[in-house]
Amino acid sequence: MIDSHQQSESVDSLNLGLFLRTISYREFLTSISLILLLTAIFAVMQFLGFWLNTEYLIIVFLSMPLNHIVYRIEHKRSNNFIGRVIHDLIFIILYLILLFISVKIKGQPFLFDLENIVFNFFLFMVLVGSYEIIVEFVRPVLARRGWQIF
Amino acid sequence: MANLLKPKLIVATASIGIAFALSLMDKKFYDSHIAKRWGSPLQWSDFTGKIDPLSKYDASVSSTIQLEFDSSSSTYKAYAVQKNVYSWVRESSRSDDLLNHEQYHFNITEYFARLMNKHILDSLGQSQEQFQSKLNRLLISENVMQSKYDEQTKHNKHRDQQGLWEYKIDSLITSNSTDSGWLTDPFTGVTIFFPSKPTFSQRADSKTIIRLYSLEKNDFILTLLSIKISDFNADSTIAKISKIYYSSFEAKKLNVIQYNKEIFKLRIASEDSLGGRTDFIWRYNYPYLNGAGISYHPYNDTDTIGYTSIFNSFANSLYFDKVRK
Repeated sequence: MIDSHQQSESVDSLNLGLFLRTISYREFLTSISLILLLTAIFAVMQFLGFWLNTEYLIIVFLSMPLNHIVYRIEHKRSNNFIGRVIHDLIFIILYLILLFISVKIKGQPFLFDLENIVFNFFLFMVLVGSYEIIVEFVRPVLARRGWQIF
Repeated sequence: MANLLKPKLIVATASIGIAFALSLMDKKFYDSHIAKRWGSPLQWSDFTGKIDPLSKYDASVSSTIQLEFDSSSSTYKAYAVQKNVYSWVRESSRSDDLLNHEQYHFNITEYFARLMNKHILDSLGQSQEQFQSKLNRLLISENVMQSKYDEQTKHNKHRDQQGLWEYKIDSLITSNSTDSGWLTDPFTGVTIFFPSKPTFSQRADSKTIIRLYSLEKNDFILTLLSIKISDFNADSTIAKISKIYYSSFEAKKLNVIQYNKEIFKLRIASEDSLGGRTDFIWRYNYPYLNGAGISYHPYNDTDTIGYTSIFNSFANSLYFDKVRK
């Protein structure tokens, strides 16, 4: 029983239809709210004089599971692997758009070269893919202990 | 199906509110804003702004051009100003080199302020809107130049390019001032362009007269050296020049790059035991032997292109005719 359940989960993990059937403004709103929350946190840190460098990117990456936690609460089920990757990409694209606008308004350069947007996008895709593969391994461990939150 | 619309909107609104409020506080609207006019060199005390934690750089200077109406002369005048509350520096990164790099950002603004003043003088009678519109166009060009400066010097990392930009910016400012930068020595008749005012010294005894103009910058020295030689002979002059290199420049290695015996035009590059280099062009114009060149100490072997460009520009401005071509 457990085996067949695990088999169906692994087949479903690449089923894009599961995510696309239920995608709505809520997923975008989750990402936008999270981006604004991060912006506020960074504004507070900036105000307090913290200098962020690579830590900044780590905070952004560590905050991404919040999207999946909210998804699980809203949909009463976990998002599958491909759904999580797409949700992460939506988050990153929205974040890059916001950063791009912010840099253009402030006229100040950012930690990495935003001009090279194509390279950065592919870099993010590789990072997101690797990140979600790790999450995919962590999730069953959490589920077995009854700590599954996304 | 749970809907977290309300909490999400609360988070989003509160975040925007916090970011906006902090941004207002960050602008230090309650702090004293000082717009320092170009003239006296920048000090780190002029950088009172909050550090941008998301910036990868160590310092940032904010400068712009202000247009003011001078009621005594009934004309507008443009001033380059540096704003203290928008200029910042990381405490751990303060250095004279970095301050010098930021100073040249301010100098670029001064160059464009001078262009604006030139335009005002050439177009007297224009309205404030017309001047403002011209100023806006100049500020766009200024921005492009500021970016190019940072890009080519790699934010002060490429020292030779930093030197080249200092030479360029000084030259542009000097060319747009009452002191045009052209120097003619009254004794030797030699004319050359110095990007800013050089110091002068002379040594004379019964045998010889040596006149020396020297401009010392952060990473290089430009020199115009004239030695009186009444009984000129090409071969003995070369021996004399070699002696200068080995005794005064403490040269370890000499490299003759160009030699034309007919007009006596000699270009020599030298290197001393500490890695210091010189590149000089020597010309004889009776009764003076004149040498113009650069001395520098490259940080590494590849960081020399900028210094060579400075030398070429400096040496090409050397001439002996009464009328400048």
